[in-house]
Amino acid sequence: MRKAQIKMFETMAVLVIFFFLLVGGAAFYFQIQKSSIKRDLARQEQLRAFQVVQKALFLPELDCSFVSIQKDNCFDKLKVMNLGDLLKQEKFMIDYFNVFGFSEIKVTQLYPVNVTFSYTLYKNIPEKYKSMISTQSPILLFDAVQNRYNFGIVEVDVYAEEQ
Amino acid sequence: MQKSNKSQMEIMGLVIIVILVAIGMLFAVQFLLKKPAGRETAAVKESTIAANFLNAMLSTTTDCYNRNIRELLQDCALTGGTTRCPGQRNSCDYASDQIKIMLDKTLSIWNKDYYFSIKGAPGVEAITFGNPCPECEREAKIHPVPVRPGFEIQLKLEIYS
Repeated sequence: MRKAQIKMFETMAVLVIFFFLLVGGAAFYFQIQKSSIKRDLARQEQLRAFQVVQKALFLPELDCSFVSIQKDNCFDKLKVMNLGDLLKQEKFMIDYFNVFGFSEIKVTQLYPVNVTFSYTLYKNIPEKYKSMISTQSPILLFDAVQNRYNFGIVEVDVYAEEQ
Repeated sequence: MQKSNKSQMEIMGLVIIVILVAIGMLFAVQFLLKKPAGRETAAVKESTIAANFLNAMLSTTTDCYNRNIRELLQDCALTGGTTRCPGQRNSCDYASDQIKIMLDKTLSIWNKDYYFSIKGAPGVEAITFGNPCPECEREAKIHPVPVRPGFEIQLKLEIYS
């Protein structure tokens, strides 16, 4: 009887240790998964920000085209000014929300240095946001009045809304 | 019989420990080998910035007879810089100065390490900016510029991470 009891305790001890190891292993696994999911979320936010930048760079409303010939990576300054003014009105901004979401898009001329041109094309910043990813890209700015191409940048700040 | 049961139990215990340690090591290796979250998108961004910079810079109109940078570099490559630009500079020096301004106002302000160089003709090979870093991780773009049939120069912009 005594021997059987010792055996039982032995078996129970093995089971208890086994379940401790199992719970420890599961906790470790879920911790790893949690950090992996956080990393994936950060990557998705980066990709989404990059998507918005690419959409801004290839907007047909701003392209430099002449006799159906389109110049790559180029914004027409007059089109930027007019679209920017249009997007200040709420009804038009709502239409572009599907394209740009919560973001701010600014176009700035850097060369020639003696001419200043800086225009906010789109601005929709949420009241509360948990992160902001800023991206800049060089572009050509076509000045139709003077018929010359200037050098500038487009800055896109994409906001991740706090939930 | 008892001895046999005992040894079987011992081995079972060892097997369980080994399995748990192997699973733990698998997760640890997977965790350690994964790249940091933003690295893949940063590489694509830098590649796009390099390509867009070269594209935009070459087509930018300058005050040197309203020639763009591409035309000034073509003149520099072909003739060594016979065109006289504002400030009594030849086309090579003038193009170099304008490229420097654009690089300073973009990549330098954004704190990006870069190396800009041109290959293909003695006149343009003197135009380099930044410091090369052969062992660094980089995104590079090469933009060929034809000067005349069979003769082209190549602009290269490397952005280091």
